[in-house]
Amino acid sequence: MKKILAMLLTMVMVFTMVSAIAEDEHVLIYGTSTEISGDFAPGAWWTNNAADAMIRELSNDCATVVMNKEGEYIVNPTVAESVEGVMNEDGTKTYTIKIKDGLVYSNGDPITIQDFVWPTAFGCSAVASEVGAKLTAYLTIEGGQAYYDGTASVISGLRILDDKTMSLQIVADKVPYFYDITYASVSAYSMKYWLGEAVTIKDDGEGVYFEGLTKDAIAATLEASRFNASESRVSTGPYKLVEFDQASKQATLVINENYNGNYEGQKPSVPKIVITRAEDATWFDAMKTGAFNFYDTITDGEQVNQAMDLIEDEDNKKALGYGFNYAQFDRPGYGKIMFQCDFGPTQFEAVRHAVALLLDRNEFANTFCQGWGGVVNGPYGSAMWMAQAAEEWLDENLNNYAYNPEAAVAELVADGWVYDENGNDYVEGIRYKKVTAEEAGNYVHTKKLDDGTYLMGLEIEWSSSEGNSVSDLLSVMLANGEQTAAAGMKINQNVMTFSELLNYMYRDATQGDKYGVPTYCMYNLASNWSTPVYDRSYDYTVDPALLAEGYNTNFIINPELDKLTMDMVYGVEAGDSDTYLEIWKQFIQLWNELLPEVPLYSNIYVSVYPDWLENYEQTSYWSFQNAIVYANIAK
Amino acid sequence: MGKYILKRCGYIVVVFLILSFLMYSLYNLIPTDPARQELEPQRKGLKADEYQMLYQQLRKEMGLDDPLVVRYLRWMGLWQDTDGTFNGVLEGNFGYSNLYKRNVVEVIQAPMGNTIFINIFSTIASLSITIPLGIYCAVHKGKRFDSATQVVTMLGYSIPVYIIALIFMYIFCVLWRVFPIMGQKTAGMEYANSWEEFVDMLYHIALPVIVMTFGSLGGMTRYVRSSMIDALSMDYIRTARAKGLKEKVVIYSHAWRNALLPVITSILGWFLGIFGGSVIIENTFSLNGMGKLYWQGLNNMDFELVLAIQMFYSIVSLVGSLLIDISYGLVDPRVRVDK
Amino acid sequence: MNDNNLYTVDFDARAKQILAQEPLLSAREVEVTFSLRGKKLTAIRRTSLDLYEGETLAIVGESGSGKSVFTKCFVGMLDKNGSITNGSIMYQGEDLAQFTEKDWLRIRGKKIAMVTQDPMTSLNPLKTIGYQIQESVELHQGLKGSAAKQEVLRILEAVGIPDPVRRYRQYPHEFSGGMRQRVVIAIAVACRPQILICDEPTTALDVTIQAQILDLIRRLQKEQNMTIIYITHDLGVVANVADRVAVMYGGQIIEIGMANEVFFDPQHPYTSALLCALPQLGVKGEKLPAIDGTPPTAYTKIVGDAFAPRNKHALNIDFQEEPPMYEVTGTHMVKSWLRDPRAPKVEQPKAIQRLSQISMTSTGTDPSAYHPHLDPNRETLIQVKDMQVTFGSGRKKFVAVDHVNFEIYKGETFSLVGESGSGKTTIGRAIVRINPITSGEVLFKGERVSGKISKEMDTKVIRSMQMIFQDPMASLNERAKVDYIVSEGLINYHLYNNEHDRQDKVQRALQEVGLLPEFSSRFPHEFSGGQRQRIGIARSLIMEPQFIVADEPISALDVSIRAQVLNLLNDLKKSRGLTYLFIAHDLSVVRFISDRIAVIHKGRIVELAEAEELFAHPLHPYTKALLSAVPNPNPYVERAKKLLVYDPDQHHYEKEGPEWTEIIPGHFVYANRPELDGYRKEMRL
Repeated sequence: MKKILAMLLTMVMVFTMVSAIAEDEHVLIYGTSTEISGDFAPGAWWTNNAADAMIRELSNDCATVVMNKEGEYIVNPTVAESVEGVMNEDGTKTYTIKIKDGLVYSNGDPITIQDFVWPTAFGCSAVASEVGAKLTAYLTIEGGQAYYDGTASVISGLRILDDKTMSLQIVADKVPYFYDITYASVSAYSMKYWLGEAVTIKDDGEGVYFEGLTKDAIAATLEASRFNASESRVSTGPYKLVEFDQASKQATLVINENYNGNYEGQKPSVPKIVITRAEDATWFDAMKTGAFNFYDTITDGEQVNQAMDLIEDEDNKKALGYGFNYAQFDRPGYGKIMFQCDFGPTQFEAVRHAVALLLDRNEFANTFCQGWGGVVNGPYGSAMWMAQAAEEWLDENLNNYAYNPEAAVAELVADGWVYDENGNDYVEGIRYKKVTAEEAGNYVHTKKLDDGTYLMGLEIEWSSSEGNSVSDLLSVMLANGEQTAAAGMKINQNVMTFSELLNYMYRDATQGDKYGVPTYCMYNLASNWSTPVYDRSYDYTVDPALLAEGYNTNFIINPELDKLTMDMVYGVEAGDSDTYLEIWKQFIQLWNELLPEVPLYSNIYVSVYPDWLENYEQTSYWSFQNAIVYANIAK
Repeated sequence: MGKYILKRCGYIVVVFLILSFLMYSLYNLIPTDPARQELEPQRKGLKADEYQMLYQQLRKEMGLDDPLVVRYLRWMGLWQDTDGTFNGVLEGNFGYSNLYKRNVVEVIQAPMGNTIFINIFSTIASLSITIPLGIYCAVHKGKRFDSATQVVTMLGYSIPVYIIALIFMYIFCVLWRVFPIMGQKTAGMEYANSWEEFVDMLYHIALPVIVMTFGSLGGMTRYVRSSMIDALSMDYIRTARAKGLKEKVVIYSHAWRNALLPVITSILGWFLGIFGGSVIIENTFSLNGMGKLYWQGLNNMDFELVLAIQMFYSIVSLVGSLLIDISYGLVDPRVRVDK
Repeated sequence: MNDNNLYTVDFDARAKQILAQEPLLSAREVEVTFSLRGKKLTAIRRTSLDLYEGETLAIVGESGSGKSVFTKCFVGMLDKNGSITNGSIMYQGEDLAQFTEKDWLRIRGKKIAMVTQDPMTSLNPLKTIGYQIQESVELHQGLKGSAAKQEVLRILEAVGIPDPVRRYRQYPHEFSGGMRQRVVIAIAVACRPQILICDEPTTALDVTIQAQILDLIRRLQKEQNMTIIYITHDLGVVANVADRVAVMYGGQIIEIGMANEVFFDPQHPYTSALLCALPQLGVKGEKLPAIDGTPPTAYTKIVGDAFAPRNKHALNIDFQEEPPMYEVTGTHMVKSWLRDPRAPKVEQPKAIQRLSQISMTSTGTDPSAYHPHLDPNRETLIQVKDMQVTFGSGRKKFVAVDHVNFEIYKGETFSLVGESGSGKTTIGRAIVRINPITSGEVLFKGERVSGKISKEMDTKVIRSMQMIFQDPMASLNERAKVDYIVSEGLINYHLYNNEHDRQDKVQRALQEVGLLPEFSSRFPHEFSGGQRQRIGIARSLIMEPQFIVADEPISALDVSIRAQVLNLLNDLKKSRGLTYLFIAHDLSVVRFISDRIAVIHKGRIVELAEAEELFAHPLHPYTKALLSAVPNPNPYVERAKKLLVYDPDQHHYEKEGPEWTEIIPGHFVYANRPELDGYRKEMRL
């Protein structure tokens, strides 16, 4: 026993010596709860994971159109000399892009116009899918489909005009589009690095085409470049990815001395960023002991409170040598109850309203977010520019469905939920409503009386995913709440895996016949708009074909709603924010009235950073990779 | 002996085939659509008809519309794949990880290295503690040290390993700060040489190894102790003593080898553990190992990855039990297979 | 093999020789206590013993008498919780009682070695035979490497293990029981000890092997001039080997003397009771003079003479004061108040007188002796026809019982005798349907009961055929009360009217086997071996069977208890009209209890006859070998007996196959024609 103790102690001594050496400079150690996959392809060509995306964005920033701090898409003056869009007579739109002089890669090599063109052209090439990349540019670029199918030898809609200018032509059915400037966003990637020396891209006046592009020619280079994390990596972002340790899943980034600057010409000053794995269970102790010092976007209310404790912990600050600060911002989305509005009790607006009125949403949000969150009354997040621009209007014009069981009952009575299960007048228990045979459908809680009338019980089948704290809280506050029973409503919780929930929600018969029929009228899940693009087109489609394919998961058949969402993005010229906002308001109001979903809570997110970091400003859309460029180390 | 091993290998192949089919069918029973999952992130940016087209194309590519048996055979490499080639497990292709977008074989390499590295340490550590401790307790049965050890090992045995992990973490990492809380290397550290890197790695895996060792102390010590007590109470031990042998010789030359027999069987579990890793430990300490990979695969419904790991586990345990049986024969002449 | 010089002994000359010597080892007033869960238990109560060079001393005693514990003191191998708390053991000028573990390393094995009881478990299964002996050789003879190996091979040869070079490399499991005991002896003698303690060296072995092993030890003793202490409960073994005999009872030596003195003129009532209880000395049809009660254990509180509570003729003083050691002759001493001048004179019982008479008559075949008589009216109860039982299949197939034919008549005791592994138990189990039979059939009262039978028949068979098992320690459920154990059969077949009826039946069964009715609420561990066996008998009796298979019912019991159980079985047979199939390996017991005996060898019955006929006219060479090996409690006879060895190759069955033949009415033998002719000649037919 003594021997073991002695052994332990020596080990500890050796190791503490080692760890003492480690702390030399201000390294930002970013703890991520998503695992880095190691795939650093130019875009979400293969993987689409938050940690990968962040590293991708930190190490690549040379796009012609970017998002600014306010969440708007603008032409990047650092990269583009000019971006001009012209509507053509055939309904297509052509963007002509001229790039600036003197743009360079991290290794000092100049950036050519070809480097801007090839990723889009590659997206029009069948070789991309052969190597497994998921690219769909051919659907957007005029002539892309033909090139993809092999019926054309050039991409007619993509041109290299001279060694500083390119143009791209967007297909007719995608324009006009409110966000169509994003089509003009092209980024520079070293073609030599990604595809190798053998491939070239040319334009003989008809459109661009590749030479030497085959799967065999590029597969090895592409594969190596994807997973390459070293000095040999060629990139354009504020940081260079110099190391990725596959074993420990740790990535190291250092400043790119040849960075061209962001859209404001800003360059980073924090010398080194290490991205390491964080575990939900131990992140707090890990931060406390300095295993990492940056924890991005804490969403859970309890964890936020923990983080606040850490920030106030002066003793730990002494022990660690630095303290913590935090940045807070609203979540661009919300957790919600979702209804399917074509069958069962939830097909009736009054029932949906009643559910909303029976749930004390303020209390719910407070309990769930532990004080770090609020409630919205429509399908938006408070971080969106529209919500900010129309803040007062939203307050005045939206029904906030404040907790009111009496009002709920009143709505139900008005809607005809006044019978008991035998068709007599309602006294107590579950309310019933006389419905048509069509309305009754195959819903489980309907019955046919002897006189031929159909009765539907106010019994809502709810599908909730397993191990979900929102479900638990909903079950307590709504499904099993006294007020719900008192109102004559019953909500049956059905717990299942998320995957199964999706099958039911999409009514995906391909996964099994039982999924194909309407079963659950209520679901609980969440919506997020991780980019500022607010495009709800097709979400409320009334086209039966699209409905069958699982669009409009609310199954709410309202042509007005469909029209508004389509018009919002396809009926507005790019840049016409006022019109957009006007349609948006109409949509929100109608939505608020129809209530296909009940928003439950919208969290306030918090990022914790070391107190030696200054000028760090993060918002919903202005995330770490954007904000860190402006931050500096305190003197 | 050779014939016996050959026969056993034959069994392994059969069991493997049955098992693989069962596993494959089981994972295919789960209501999920890999094609939909694959396209879900792109759905937002696509028009409805575009999405449908891509979706159907992908389903065809993945062969999702074929019957289960065909898909299984394809996966095994016994049926032509959608691109007309034979490309399955038997051809060395253990599948493609949807989560990592790489071949499973490549995905598994690093975690397996880690797991084996960590577990070899902890196995050596705990065997070198538990075996002498168990023997000592058996020889000094009923003495104070033995009683104390019984209490401690009972505790160690009954406390789940994740509780031990959290307690140790709190004591060593938060309170005393002698060990790092997680990971496998110090973030942002630049190493002068690979030795330093290795030492840093050891430093990081020290606590997990300690926790794993501690967690296994109880069971193994008690096991060794009781089998040693059994062995020591045997008549041949009396014969050995009557010969006039020293007590040390009696214990280590006569009793220990007999006590080893039941212990060998329990080492099979360890053998699996060396390759399998521990889901709990690896997740708690954020170590990139097999257990964690498996967990991640399951959570993200990366079934080809999970299947490959599962199949790997079954091979390891099948081969492991063969090795145990063979080593049993090495130790015990009574079960030696001669012909 | 039978070297007469080794056997014939002049006890008087030996006595003189011994009296003239200084003792080699001298134990004085030795007390051994054990601490068990905080209790102090005295196992050896201040007893003394002198051991003389070159002699063979047998210590006789029942389990719990302390004979093993006492001798373990001489090698320092007491269990860890035991210690010598008084007295001294002087050996070569040193007091062994004071030895530390380090001191023992000089003596144990080197000077005083030990042969342990069970050869099946006393060898390390994972080490080669050679290694285990060589360890001893290297340690004590100072030889190394190939020299040590040569010595091992020599020793293996010496203990009668053929082909030593091959055997050297083998493991214990490749050896038979007798061979293993030879190895254990080889290990002990490899140390060339001065004193060899043999703790029940032959108890676990068959009689024929037992005789060989005793022979071996005797030879080695002479070669190496060893002094030997035998520990045994078997008086036959004592008669065979001992120069002197010490009888232990209740942790003390109560009588010690030259073998002839103790056997022919026992002074202590226990010694004489023990001898009287021998079935060899019993008269058929009469009760064996049993000793009531059970021997004391270390838990028993002993006042006065330890044997007094079981002694019918105990004196008052026996209950009050411990008797001193009286000298009968120079070599014969006894610890009994009967030697006090004031005590009444007691005559030696008839059995003891008979014992000395055996010495005069020969046991060899006597052609003129008894011939069987057949009762023409006897009724067949069980008929076994061509029974065959095999285990396993294919290459691993093992024929346990090979075409066996016999009948058991109502009201008789039919015995099956054979060595371990001969298949006798399998036959018993096959008859009561515990083991299925492979071919042939079993008839009970003319009805077939083997193979598939109807459910009612099955119940009937179970009710009318019961079994008593060998080891009473292992055959009772430790967690169940006697009440449940005894009535389990009743409960299973619901053979009682109501709860009261059931209890009544249990009480009656218990009374019938000589147990108190109140025992029904106790657990098995509260009973001694004999009582447990009575419970086992009660369990079978309660089903009111007609036929009982008694599978070695007394072989695990102490000598004094054996007589009790044998008497009980005989009584029940009379009172209930039972029929027994008695399975045993001990021919002396079988002779006493059986009406007819079948001798079984390797699954085949080789000879079957009425008991006295078989003993008077054994025909088959195997029967002869078996009979020749039966220990006789008369030292003169035992030592003079000729041991016959059965060699299966002596038959020439390849020329003419043997057949199961009734050579004279009621006497069957398995032989071919030439052999039968020979047998007829032998019997003067």
